Amino acid sequence: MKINKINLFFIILCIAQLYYIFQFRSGFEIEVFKKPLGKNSGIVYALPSEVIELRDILKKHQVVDFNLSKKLKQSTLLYQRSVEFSYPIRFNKSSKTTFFLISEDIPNNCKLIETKKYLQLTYC
Amino acid sequence: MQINNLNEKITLILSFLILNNYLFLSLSFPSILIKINFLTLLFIILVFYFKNLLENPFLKIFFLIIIIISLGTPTYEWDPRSIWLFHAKRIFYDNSIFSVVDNYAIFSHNDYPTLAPALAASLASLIGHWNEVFPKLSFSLMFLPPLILIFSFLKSTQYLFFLNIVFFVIGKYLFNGWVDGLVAVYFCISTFLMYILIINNTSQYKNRILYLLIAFCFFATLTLIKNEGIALLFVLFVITVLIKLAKGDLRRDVSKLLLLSFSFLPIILWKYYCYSNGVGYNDYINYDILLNLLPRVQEIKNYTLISYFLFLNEKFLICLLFFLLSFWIKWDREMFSFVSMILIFYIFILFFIFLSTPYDLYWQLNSTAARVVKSLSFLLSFFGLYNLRNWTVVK
Repeated sequence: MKINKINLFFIILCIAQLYYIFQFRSGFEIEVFKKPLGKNSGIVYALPSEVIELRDILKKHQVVDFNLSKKLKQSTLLYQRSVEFSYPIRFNKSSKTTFFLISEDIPNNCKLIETKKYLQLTYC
Repeated sequence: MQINNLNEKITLILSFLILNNYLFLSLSFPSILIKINFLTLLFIILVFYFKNLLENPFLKIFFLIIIIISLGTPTYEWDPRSIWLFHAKRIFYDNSIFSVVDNYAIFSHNDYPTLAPALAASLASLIGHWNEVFPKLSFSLMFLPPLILIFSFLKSTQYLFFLNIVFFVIGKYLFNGWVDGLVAVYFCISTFLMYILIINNTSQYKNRILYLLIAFCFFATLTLIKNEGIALLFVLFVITVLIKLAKGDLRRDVSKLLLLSFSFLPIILWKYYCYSNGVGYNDYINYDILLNLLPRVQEIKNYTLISYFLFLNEKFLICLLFFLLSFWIKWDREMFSFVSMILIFYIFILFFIFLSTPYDLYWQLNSTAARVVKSLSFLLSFFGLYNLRNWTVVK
């Protein structure tokens, strides 16, 4: 009986710890759990909107590599997320397909291809 | 005994299949073989769940909850995205672990070991596409072999305590795509295997070939999870040899130690491949190491700062207290010295590494110390528990 009580105590403690991990430490999203194998599952929770838009544009234009403006490259978050999320489309600093933030001025040597909500696609 | 044997066999097969996945990818085997290997892994997990349905129910239920949480959690943290799952994504698309030779995206530390990413890539191959959620599930699956093995050594109440330790120390690292939890668990159980196979001469497991094979698989896995695992296994070997020398019975186990030392081979080959191709970040091992180290060595405030981050971690302190309390209740000189020496040696290495970091010391400690110390916290709490396995309150 005593053993059972100890077991019960440890079971409750395990459940309490799992609840704490689930509730406060996990970032669990029920929308993600409903479709964990979906191709775009979880991206809105995991990535900045600019990066999601960048990959959508890349896919739409079927480019093999891309470059980022100086301002985009200076943002470590946007740079690293763009590089890893867009893979296998590769970042290439000599690519002519260059992205600028919507707030940035496009240089004269670049031709505007498309403007979206957060980014501008240019050919430089 | 029959059931425990099954647990041991399942542990060995799962560990072997995890390493086999890496080997297949290294040797560029056809993707169909890699998928079959992963399916076998899933089948063995099902055997564990259903062969003796009512045996070890707590691990089965709690691990299922971890899987559910993992499948509802997108990968959003920095290291999982930029390093571990990015490596996995590259392996998935390039169908090779060697594509890192181009050193693309240098921020992802291309020379890091890729055992866990390789398994995630194989899961993605099995599903047929990549996404931001399910690949990290394979990291969680890698926790199963050590967790299953330990069931053979602890009674049910003690095993429940052990699971509490796992949730307390490892916590969200069970499912969030980081590998630090894996390093902590594999290091602790590797230390335990070294103890029962080599250090403790009265252990009934000392001459069991099955345990030697499991130890070999766990050691190789530890080194192939993260660079930190190489340092931890090195510490484990050095302390073991020193203890055996002090006892004067090194010769008795030298053949086993030699055999186990071959577990370093895969990581040595991987590092050789990377450095011979100029791949790597070389954060620590570079010509500037003395330039970083020497000015910091002389300042006492650096030692205070490192000690603050390492030792004033609340989980580490609780585990240390539990360890000391356990050995105060039941003294075991051999086990206490073994674990304490490993602890002290690794802390020395940590001080050396932190003092020679090329980054700002505060930033480095703030971003890594709590994760690094998990290995030590888990080690202390596990051995504290194992020490009390046969302890009963005398009224």
